[in-house]
Amino acid sequence: MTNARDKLASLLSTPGLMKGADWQQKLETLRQERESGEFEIDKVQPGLIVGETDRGFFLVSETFPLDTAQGNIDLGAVLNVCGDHIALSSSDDALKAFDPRKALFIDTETSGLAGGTGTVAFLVGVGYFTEDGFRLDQCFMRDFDDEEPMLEYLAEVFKDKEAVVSYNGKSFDLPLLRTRFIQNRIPFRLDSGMHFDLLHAARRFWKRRLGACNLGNVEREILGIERHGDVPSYMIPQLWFDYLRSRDARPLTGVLYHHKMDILSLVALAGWLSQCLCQPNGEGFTHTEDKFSLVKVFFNQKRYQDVIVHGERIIADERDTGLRRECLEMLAIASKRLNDFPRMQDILTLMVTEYPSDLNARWELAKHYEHRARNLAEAERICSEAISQLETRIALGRALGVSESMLASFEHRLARIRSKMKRLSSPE
Amino acid sequence: MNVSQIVDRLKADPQFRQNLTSWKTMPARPARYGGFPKELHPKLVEGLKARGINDLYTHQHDAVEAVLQGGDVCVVTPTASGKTLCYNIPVLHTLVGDPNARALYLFPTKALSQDQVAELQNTVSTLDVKIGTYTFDGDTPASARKAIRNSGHIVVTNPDMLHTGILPHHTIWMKLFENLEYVVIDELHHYRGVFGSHLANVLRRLKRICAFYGANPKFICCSATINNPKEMAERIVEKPMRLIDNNGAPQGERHFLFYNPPVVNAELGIRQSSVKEATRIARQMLQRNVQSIIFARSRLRVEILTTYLKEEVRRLGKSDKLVCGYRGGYLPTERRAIERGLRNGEIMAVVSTNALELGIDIGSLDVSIMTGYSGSIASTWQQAGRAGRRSSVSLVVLIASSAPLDQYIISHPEYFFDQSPESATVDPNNLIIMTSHIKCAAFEIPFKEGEIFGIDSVSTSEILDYLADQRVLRKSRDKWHWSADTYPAEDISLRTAAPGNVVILDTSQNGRVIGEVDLFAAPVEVFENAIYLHQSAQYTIDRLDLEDRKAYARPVDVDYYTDAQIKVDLKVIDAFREEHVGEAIKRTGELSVTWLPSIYKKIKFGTHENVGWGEIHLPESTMHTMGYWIEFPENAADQLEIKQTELSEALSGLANTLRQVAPVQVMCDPTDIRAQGMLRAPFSEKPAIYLYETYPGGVGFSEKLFTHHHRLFEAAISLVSGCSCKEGCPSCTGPSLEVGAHGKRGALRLAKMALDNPGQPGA
Repeated sequence: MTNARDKLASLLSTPGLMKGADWQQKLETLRQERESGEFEIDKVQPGLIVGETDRGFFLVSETFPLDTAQGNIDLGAVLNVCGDHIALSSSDDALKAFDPRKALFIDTETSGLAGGTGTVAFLVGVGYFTEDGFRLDQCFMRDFDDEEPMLEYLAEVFKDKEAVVSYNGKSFDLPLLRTRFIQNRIPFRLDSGMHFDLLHAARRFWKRRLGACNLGNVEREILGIERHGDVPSYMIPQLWFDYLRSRDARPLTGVLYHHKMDILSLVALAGWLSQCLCQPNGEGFTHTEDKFSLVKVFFNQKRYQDVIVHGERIIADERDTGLRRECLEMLAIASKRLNDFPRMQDILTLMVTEYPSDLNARWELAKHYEHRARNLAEAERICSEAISQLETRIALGRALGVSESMLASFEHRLARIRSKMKRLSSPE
Repeated sequence: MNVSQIVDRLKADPQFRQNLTSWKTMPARPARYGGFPKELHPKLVEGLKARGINDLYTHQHDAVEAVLQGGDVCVVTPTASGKTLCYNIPVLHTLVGDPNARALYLFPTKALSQDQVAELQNTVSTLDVKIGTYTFDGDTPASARKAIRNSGHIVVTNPDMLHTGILPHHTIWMKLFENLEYVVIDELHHYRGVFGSHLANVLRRLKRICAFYGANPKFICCSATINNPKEMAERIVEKPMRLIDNNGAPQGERHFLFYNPPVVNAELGIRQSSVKEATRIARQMLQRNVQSIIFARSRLRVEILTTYLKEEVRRLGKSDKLVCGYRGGYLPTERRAIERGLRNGEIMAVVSTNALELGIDIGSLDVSIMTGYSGSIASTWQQAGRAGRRSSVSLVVLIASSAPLDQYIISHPEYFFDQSPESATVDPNNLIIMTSHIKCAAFEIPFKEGEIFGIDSVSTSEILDYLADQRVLRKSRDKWHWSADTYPAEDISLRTAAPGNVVILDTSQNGRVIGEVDLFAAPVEVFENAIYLHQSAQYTIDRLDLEDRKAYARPVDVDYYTDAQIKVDLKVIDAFREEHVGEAIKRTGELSVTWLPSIYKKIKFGTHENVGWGEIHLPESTMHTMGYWIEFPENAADQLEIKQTELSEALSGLANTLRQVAPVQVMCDPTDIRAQGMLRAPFSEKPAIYLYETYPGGVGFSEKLFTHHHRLFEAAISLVSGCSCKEGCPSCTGPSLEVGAHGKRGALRLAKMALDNPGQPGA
């Protein structure tokens, strides 16, 4: 045994693995199938080979009119977006300059999720608006050799685009594409511009209501789309590897459909989100959870005036305690930041009434009465109530450490308030 | 009391001296200086002077000059000779002049990387230039990684991280690879055998990626004293290297003592236990407040010695925190605390495996006690070097165990002192190792037809075709592409045959992790009912789950430890080379080895008597590996004038002896090679002795044994005939209880038969 290939086969052989004659037979069958090319991609899927046969890639290109419905919204809706809303939903002020007509909607299907330099994007979808509608190019690698001409084509498409729209592209698709471009020594400029990653936006607005924010779930719940005959994502790499050997592209038509839907939903979702944000008074959002999420977005961006406006609307008609309480907390902080102390006092009082065990609210309220409102009697009452609550808690052995340290703080405050009261009441 | 006073005392103690076979005094050696090379950046020279470095030792001067002239360099000097400056100076010189340049430092362990960065940052702080020096390993927080990739001038890491975390992501490390000027490999001698063979392949991948980005870094290697540093460096780096070995560092006076414990049973050839003697000597040092390090050969011995010494120190009325164990399998935080304790004197005695042989900074210790011969001259010098790193008087005591090799060394001090240290072996072309890395390399950059990885383009393309057959790669036109949805580096461990470790969980503490062993060693160390020792606490293993890589342990308190026995079956797959030597034939080739842990013995602490046994229920494992074996003529028994039954005893006796002396010849760990005597060899039906490697596919030891056949057998003969026992003892052919009463005589005759010039059979 001098041939390394044979030797390895014997060194590493595992029972059950095909060997020798069986293997040859199988290879022969595969070769015949491949040569016949009966089920090659261009036979089973409308599209064309860009470039020459042996130096090109397979392109499926389609243009959708602006009024094409994707679930409950038209693709064209996204053209009405306002950069401010995109910036708000993605917490990125650079996106204020976002122009949907110069944006590139992008998604990839890859040979694996492991990352690193050995993972390729065998299907890259790029969509953008033209005079005729929304054009979607699905670029497909029939084999590894197709990568270079495909990336060259993509580099041309990228040229006049100012922004990228993706679903989780910030941490997945773009780094992976960058690696592919470097590997093929083609300059990659896509990651220097704006990037609107809808995964992050979707999480901000819909996580509260939907929980999981993968595109499939968001698409079904928000856009009302039910996919038929879709391929589960985890199977996709294997389908492509199988095709490379069998040259039977029939199972891949499902992958191309899946991929097309992903990008169309991306466009629709961007449109839907900005449409929601465009409506005055937050009316674009119908679910209380979503309205609440909007308040939270404002809050995180320190837009306190908006927090008050939208938050008070939720308080007015929302009874769900968890949401209501969180909302009141944000309102209390927002009014404090705006130096709107009468409002803050109202909100904290409401909290203490509705959630008598909320000691943080009591603490803030006591502080307010002691230092700002200078209503020492009220401050004393609040502290005393808090102390008796805490004493009960400690007696019951609940959250001892925290309770004890809070008790100490309240007692300290109460003592100070009482001594102040004494000083004030004693005649000069 | 200082060390020279202790030395005077020992000199005056006849009872102690009686057990010495050698007392060598190595005089202090003054420093030799070579000055700063002229081309060195003045800023750097100033900075070094600010840190109190006013001149360079000769080896430092030569190394710096050689690197600046553009060569790849291998520096060889003993412990504590200031070798880090040999690479830090040229690297910093380049970085001061070119802020875009980058350097990559490789250390075998994380601990060494951390020490190195601390030292580098000190030097950089005197330079008034912004040079970012960072460790990048499994402990680096995700938030810091990006900054390190983009602005780390010197990235300090280990081969494992380079292999799994950096090379497979080279596109995000573009800045490093495009501008890589230097690759520094410290502790080169550590990379022998499997680890070194892996490293050579990791470097092949590194160079391939550098070439992709148009970089061509210079390599600087540093090694402790071994016989063939230049060859070793050239094998690993695969470039011609310039050797720098004119050590100019000063050295304090050193006393090197060979101590053979007194015989307690002359008939059985049993000597006082080396562990007990080491305890006794270490106790004296503790009593006199002298800091010492005690080396033991196995993890088990470390634990036993630690237990004994803790007892002793309590008896002296001191805190047992003064004594500490240190070995692989301790958690990193535990290790850091011990290293700190040694530096600041809170720990006065540390018991360690060869884990502390490496350049981990534990400051200067006064005394080094070796419990048993480490198995190699090079590592003995390393262990000795742990005492008296600076320029004070130091003491080194080597205590022989009853093991054959120890007895040979202890009674032939001249062998140790006169012989140059062993040569290290690596085999970058081990087919399994190379193939693993070809997978990783294909993941990193597709292979082009005609490309060479390792031997030549033909074998490279054969391996690539094999991987394509396995559907791991896909050949498309003239390139092989990675074509699986996995990440190959993750499944390939650089250090062991098997990927990953078995973690040991303490079930009495909610499954807290108390240690780890490699998967390969798990059936021998943590089988069910094994006693596992950790920081001298005892645990028994309730369950070993090899699939999930977990061993469940619970603390116990017993007076014995356990020792596993393994049953072995051999098949010859292919013999590559063979040669007649006298009546015998030596061969080297491929073997299939099946082994099955069968039983374990319970051995009592202190008396070391056998107090029971149990069965081990684990599946058998099969491995393809390389071996070297000797076949004797069918009528060997007649020729040697011994009975057929005695031949079997002779074969196992000689196998035992050969296994003991073989590691010296090829510089490997005693566990890297196993031996087996067989009355009827599976290949030829002749009496034979097999020595085989424990790493699948072998890493070159067998080939080397084949070449050094004569030296090997001469050493075996010298050991057996020099031993004072009558019928074989643990110090030569193995205990006569196991080997038989005639093992020794037969082994000696057999050994002579395997030499060209057999002499008289009856001698």
